[in-house]
Amino acid sequence: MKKIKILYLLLIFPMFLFAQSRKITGTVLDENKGPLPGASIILKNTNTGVTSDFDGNFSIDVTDTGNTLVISYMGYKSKTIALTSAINYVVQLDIEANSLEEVVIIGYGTAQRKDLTGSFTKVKENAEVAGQYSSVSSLIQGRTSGVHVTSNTGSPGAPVSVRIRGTNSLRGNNEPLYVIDGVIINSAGEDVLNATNDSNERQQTQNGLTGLNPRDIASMQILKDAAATAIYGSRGANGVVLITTKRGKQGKAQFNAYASSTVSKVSNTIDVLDPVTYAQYRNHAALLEGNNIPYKVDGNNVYLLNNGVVESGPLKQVNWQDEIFQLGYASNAGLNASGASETSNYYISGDINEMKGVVPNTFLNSSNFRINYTSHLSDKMKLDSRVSFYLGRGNMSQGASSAGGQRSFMRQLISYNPLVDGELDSDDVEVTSPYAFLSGYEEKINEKRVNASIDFTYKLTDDFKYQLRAGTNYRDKSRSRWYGTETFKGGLVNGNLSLSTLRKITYTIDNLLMYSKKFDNKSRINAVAGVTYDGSDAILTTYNVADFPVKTLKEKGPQYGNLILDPFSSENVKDQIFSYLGRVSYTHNNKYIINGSFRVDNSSKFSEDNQTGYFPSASLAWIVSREKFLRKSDIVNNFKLRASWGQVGNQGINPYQTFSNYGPLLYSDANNSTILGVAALNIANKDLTWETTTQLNVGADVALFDDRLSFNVDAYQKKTTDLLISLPTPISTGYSNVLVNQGGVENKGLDVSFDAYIVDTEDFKFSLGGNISFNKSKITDLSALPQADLYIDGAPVKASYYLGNNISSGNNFKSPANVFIEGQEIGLHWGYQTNGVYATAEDAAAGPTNQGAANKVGEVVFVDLNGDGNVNDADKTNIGNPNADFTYGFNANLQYKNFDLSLLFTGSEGNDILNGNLLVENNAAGNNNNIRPDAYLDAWTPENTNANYSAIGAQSASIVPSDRLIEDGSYLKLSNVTLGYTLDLKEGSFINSIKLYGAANNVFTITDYSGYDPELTSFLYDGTVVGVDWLGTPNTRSFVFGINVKF
Amino acid sequence: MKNISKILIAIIISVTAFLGCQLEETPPFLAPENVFTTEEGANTALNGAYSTFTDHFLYGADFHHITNFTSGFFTSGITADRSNIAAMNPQASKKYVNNFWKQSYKAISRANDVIGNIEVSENDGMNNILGQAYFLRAHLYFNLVRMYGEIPIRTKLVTTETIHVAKSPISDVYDLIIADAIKAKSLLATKDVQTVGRPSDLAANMILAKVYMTLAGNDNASDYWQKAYDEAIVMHGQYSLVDSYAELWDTESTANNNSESIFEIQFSEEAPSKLGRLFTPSTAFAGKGWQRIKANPETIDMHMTKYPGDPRINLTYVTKYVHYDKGTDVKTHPEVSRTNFGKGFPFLYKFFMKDREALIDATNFNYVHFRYADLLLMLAEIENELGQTATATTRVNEVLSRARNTGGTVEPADWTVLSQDDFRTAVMREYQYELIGEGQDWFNNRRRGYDYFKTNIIEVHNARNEKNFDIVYPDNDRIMLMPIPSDEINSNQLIGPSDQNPGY
Repeated sequence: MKKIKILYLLLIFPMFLFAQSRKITGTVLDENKGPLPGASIILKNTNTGVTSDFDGNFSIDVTDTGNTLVISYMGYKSKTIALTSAINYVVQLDIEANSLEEVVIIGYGTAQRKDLTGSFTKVKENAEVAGQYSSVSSLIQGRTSGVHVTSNTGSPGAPVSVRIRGTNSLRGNNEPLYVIDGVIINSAGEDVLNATNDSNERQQTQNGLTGLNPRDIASMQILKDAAATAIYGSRGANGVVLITTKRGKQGKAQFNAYASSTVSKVSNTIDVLDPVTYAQYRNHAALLEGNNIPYKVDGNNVYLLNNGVVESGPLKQVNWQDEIFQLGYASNAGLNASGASETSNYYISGDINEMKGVVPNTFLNSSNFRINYTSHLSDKMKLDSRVSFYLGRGNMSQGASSAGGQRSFMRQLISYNPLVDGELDSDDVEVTSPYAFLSGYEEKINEKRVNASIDFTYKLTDDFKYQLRAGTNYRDKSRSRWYGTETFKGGLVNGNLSLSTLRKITYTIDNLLMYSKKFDNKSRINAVAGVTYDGSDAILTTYNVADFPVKTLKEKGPQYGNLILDPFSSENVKDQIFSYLGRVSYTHNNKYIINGSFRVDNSSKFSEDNQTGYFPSASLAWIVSREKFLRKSDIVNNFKLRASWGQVGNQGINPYQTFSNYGPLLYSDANNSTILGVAALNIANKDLTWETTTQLNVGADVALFDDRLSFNVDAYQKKTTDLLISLPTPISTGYSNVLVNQGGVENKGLDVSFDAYIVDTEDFKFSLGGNISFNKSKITDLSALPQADLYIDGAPVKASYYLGNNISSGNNFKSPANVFIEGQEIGLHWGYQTNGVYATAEDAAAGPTNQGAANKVGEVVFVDLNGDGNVNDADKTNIGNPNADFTYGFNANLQYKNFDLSLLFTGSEGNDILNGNLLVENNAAGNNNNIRPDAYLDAWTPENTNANYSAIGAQSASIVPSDRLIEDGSYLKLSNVTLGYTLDLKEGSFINSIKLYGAANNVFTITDYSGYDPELTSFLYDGTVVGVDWLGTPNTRSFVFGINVKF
Repeated sequence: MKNISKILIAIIISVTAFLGCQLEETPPFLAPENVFTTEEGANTALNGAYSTFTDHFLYGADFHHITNFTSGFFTSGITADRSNIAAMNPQASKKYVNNFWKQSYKAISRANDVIGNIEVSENDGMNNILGQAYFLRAHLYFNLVRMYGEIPIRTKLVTTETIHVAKSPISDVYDLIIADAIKAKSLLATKDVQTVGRPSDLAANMILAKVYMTLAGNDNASDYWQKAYDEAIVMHGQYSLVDSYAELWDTESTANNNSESIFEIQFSEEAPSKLGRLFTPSTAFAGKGWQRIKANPETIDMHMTKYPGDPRINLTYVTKYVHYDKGTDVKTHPEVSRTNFGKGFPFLYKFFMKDREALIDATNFNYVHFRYADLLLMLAEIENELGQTATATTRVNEVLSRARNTGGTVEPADWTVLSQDDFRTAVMREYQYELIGEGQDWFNNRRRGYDYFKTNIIEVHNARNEKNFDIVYPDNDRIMLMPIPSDEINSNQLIGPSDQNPGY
């Protein structure tokens, strides 16, 4: 990368000079004392008028004849100012009603909202509500249409997934692009490498979007259609979230201090057999097996039997979930200060969070610090700098074993033997008990993050602006996992420590030339052309070591491990994108808007021939309400029709995939010394390129009754081609998957949202908002794969398809749960149809064999679809659909005098969940796993032949996915309730206002789903596993009390 | 206009400033060009292939799971496995079925990478590397074809064009194995110069001998017996049995890379196998075993009946061990009556954790896959088929004599000359007495066809059925092959569910 040459251009545009005039300046402020750009300032009774700039500033030459300014802005009450001898005027406009008229941030520039042709949604929340969310992405949940957010707050640092208008990519990471103050932050699904090559150990996904305090956000724009996102070229396909942080407002310095405390509790537990019934179940199983019974049940007491003899007192009876889960606590405090002078403004904030999770020993402590400073160096030059720091550290609970069983904390919490011999602490309870994970497992995370950007704007002429932006984001994250000998895994190797780090710097350099020109106040051109370069440079390290003679140091002492399981490895990974971009928007007569954009991307991730991509977009809008026939309407005050077309890309893969990458392996020589080996670890694919999404969008914005009621409706069709898929390869290749561009996906949908200000008086305000999103995905093309026979809805068809990744590495669910079939929706659940359990031995003998083996009575009846007398992989069919019919959210805001109340509901309808946990929880296998009550009480026995559950010990039949695992995943959640009380204090006193509030999150969930929570986060970034619950973590319900003080 | 041109100049300057940017990737990884140019580099890639052999999914553990559970000699201490794969009911989605296939092919792919990047040359060092790669590939395909039948053949490192490959006929797989083994024989260093711990050219003879014996099957008139003989006889006298059977199992120093070893997978504490855990109960050493693989009672009973007092019995089975925590004796069959599933089965001494105090199972014990005693018994079986029963008897007696020397006992007494048929029946059992658990059982028990397997394994085992917890093996010839793993069927577009092996 060569040095960026900063342009020095001195350009003076011809100026009209008014005779005998003086210049006055001023600032127009909105209702919040924030700058109001685009307001019109007219010298009354003249033709002279100007518009306020982005910072709300204006300057106007006033002749002696005029002495009154009229300041107006759509949606605000106009103000008339009588001019005095003063030169500077600060004018605050009051809002007329809720307005659509404002300046919004769009990709590489700003635009007036009325000039938008694409589908944008703005999210704005008050500080109290924003402050309750630990992550920017979860703040979006339920608040906008077309955006589906999945989050689970059960454990600190838990990941959040955001899907904008469905799933475009089958590869996994469908997270939108986040742009914070113009700097691209591409880390939503990013994490350190998994340090262990143990196939039973997945790495728990964590939120990659740390480092932004939700309270620092001034506004968030969600760009959904191609007209809006195409300017982001090869990275815009999943939608773009633009975030602007706060800046200081004109006037005296303002301070805002806040504090809150949160108490949280697990919102749901899984019902299992009580200890006494469990003992009866185990005895029952032992008798069937011909073994001695293990327990003696005497009333409510259970004794352990050793060869039929009671050797000690009654066993402790434990409900593990109640035993382990505790109340979680969190506290948050912060202070921000902002202000502005004539030439500069600032915003400084600091924030501290402490969170203790519902699992003992888990915590996440973090702090944020931010300085935003804008300075007008001269009339023409503006420097805008923003810096934020984040520090976070925490300890997580174990939750990412893919094997399940005794390796998994979540599994053991539910299934562990509820009868304990000895004391309830880790010294006495055997390896693999939930207690063992508390004392024997630590997962430390440590993260530091710096975001910084400098934005230099030079006004070349009145119409041309040059902008140079340099931004960087530095992320330093480390994770360590310690398995002590208390745990099964740690016990195998006398303590196991794995360490991973990520040190990544991403940078953006934008060179933009902006042009904006008004003609006769009704027509205007807004254009931008630019060259941008951005990239990242990351170092990822891993180290995995075991056999610790001294175990006290844990992650602090990797050097004390005797046995190096995976040697220290360090990878330096770089990528760059170099682009040209341009956009022109022309508004004619305030009625017709045409907009076009174009971006050329060159990405280092692809080989030279496939490096360059072109991403065009075009869009139109017609403001019908400005036409004569509607202009006078008392009802309709805004009616805009929009249409757009564009192409966007997605290249979110790891670099170097076009090469064969050799990595280290270990072997031993005859002297038992370790010797180094290497092997190619991936299948090189020289032909890789980005996937391309072509999107068509038509929409309408309607506002009625002075903006009291507004609607947005958007219909879209997105077609993605050249999908980047990590396709499971035949395991005979020696590899598990290969990255290819193959096939196509289509998403069609409808986004509807509304806002209604039902009552709007001084003392009482009541508003409702809501949104609903329908999306239908379809795999349109998998023609690169040959057609094969399979079943859809139990009927034979020929189609191309592939299957998802195996769910587990253990025995219970070592098979894929999803299928991707050409012509069908994405990720249908895949497995066997069943038909109860075999009631009699005759039925069992008459039924088809199960993978060649004869059935026993009481085993599950699997349907032999192809009728060949044997049930095997060929009989699988789609058994569920993880895609929701629609998702929705609605909110209500109520304000009475000093009280305000807001509620937020979110929901999803019509999606299935394949609950893999039922394979264990609903299977009376006869081993020491605890199970759900019905699985024992309604198990097949010679007395209960008409049973819903298989016989005790009928194990082999139930390790595969079937329709017995499918549950309705629809839900409606009351996600947030916030009640606030504002204490207005006397004008001029030191404290301006105090606001007290109480809130509850995840208040209730209405769902038929029997697992912990229908919002699944365990396979968030694995695109081949959709709607599958495997060792999911519980969610929490939390109550917050907080105070905000302004002074 | 002046301004506009300045703006244009500005654009041009900023654009050209970027044109020098290089977007070419320079991966910080090794590439084939710098791996295979030197002998040292090529050897590193070969080590990569060997490393795959030590993986948990292959000889680290899963080879032992899958072959022992379905050999007919063993059961599992894990309930899920006991009622499933160890009950001769392996399912296509069972992890051992998948993992063993997957890891074997991973090893094949790494051998392919070496084979594809080295040409036969004047350089002995390079030839030896290439020869080992051919040897490993022949070995792997030989395992796979015997266990899964028709399988896909891959002889080059996979590219995006060769992802999907259909199954090949069994004969094609054997053609490849034979061709590879012959190449290996000519390229590998001879035993006297080969690096200790690496297979020499004679190890390729061993594979060929076994291949021909397998192809001969139960047909005593087959020409393959002669071919097998030609390979096996070359090896005779080139290795020697260690003095005592105990040396093979007691300590690493005598067990590893000894005079009897033909092909041995090198493990170390840094990269250990799971053998110790698989064969040791949870209460027998500090680090706790997994007690996964336990012998069926009839295997030890037969041995005790045939050769009472054979020193090999106590060096093969564990009938009693000391409880690690309690210090008391824990007895297994036949020391204690079989009252429940946990008590009725002996453990295998061969791979038992010898160090009671070890906190973890990592040891330096290697895994010997081919050893000379095996070759002697093979030679005996071959010679008997070729009508040289008298010579054949001397081969068996070599093995038995070493067994006697181990404890100075009378048994196992030398064989006297038997009829050809009696010899055949007897020598097939000798593999069990000498080599049980050493990775040959699955193949030896099936080599002579289902009828042999049914009569000599299934029925013998089922006759012993006496308790609820005893597994009854089904009479079903599908068990001659494992099912094609569902992971392969699910992802290979040229192998569908209809290509599943018969009976699954």
